[in-house]
Amino acid sequence: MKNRNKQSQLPIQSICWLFLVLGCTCFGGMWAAIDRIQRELVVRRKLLTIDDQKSLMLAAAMIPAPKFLAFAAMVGYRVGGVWGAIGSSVFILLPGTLIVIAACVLTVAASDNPAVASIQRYVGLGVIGLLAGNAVRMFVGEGIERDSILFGLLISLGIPIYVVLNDGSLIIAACAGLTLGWLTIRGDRRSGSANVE
Amino acid sequence: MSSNASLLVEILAVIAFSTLFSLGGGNGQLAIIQDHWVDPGILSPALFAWAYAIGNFVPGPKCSFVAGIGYFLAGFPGALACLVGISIPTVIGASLASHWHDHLKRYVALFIPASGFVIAGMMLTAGTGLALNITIDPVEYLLVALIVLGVWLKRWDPGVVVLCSAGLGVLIHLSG
Repeated sequence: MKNRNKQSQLPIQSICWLFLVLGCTCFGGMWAAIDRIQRELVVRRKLLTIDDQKSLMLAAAMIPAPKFLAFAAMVGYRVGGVWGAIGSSVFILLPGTLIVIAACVLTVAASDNPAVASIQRYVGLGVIGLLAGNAVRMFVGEGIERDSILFGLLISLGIPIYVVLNDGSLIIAACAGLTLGWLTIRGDRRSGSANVE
Repeated sequence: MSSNASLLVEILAVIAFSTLFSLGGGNGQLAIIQDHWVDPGILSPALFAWAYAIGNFVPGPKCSFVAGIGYFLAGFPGALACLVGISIPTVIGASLASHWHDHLKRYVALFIPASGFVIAGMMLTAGTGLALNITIDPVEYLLVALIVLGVWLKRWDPGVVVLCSAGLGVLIHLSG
């Protein structure tokens, strides 16, 4: 695939280094790190314009992939083609991944400690609350149009009811929900994203 | 193919597939992971929640929590399989989207309004599935309800929720 943006090409090692730095210094997801990203990509390195950055961030939210990772891959593609996309996505993931693995290794090593079991139990409860709260936020989004509420409720409640109560397949439920939504609520102007991490 | 190699291929395939349900910025992939490994009893709900919780504290994309899932399932090779699995669809999708940005935008946009409802349903499924795998006392339901309201209405940061939950776990342990 040819890269369309010929004026701002970077060697692969520079792309990897740039995204390794961003991977070490950006906390809280893509939107939370917007200032840090802007400083590095727009102001300091002049790889993107501010409009490019906004456009790529919105596009990243539309790709079926984690937003921040998709944004990194899109920027990597623009400045280094497919290899740039691969390098940027791997290197932005690397620092967080190493920390996650280190924490998991320590968890396994300390699994006999009763304090760890207690912490894990309450973290589990917190995660259940986070998932349910984010589900509500995702459902409400930026505001639901009246015509969409019925079908939205049918999809959002139908999936857990079908999967949990009827022991149905999650994939079938999700695909059926997407098809039903595409047929019935595609005229809705809601964004589909509530900046839920 | 040995059982280890087939497990790694399975991890890679499930994570790659689950990545497709991150459309619209949601965490639909959690539901796929939970459906595939937590519900059948292959991965304990506590470790699943733990890996997800750690992902909220690390720099970079929060999806790096999948490396923890891979590690709990198959050690370091499992973590690597998760990284490859999450990177493949992302690189393909992002490259295509960069290349044919204007052309693809209108097709993807057809599914965007519905994706919020579908991912909300998937996240609710993940939360319900996790709750069914943990014995929760009535008082603890109040705690969960409080977190739901805080996340929904006050947009509580996930990192703060996880940190406070862990702190509560320490307090309960010390007092018990």
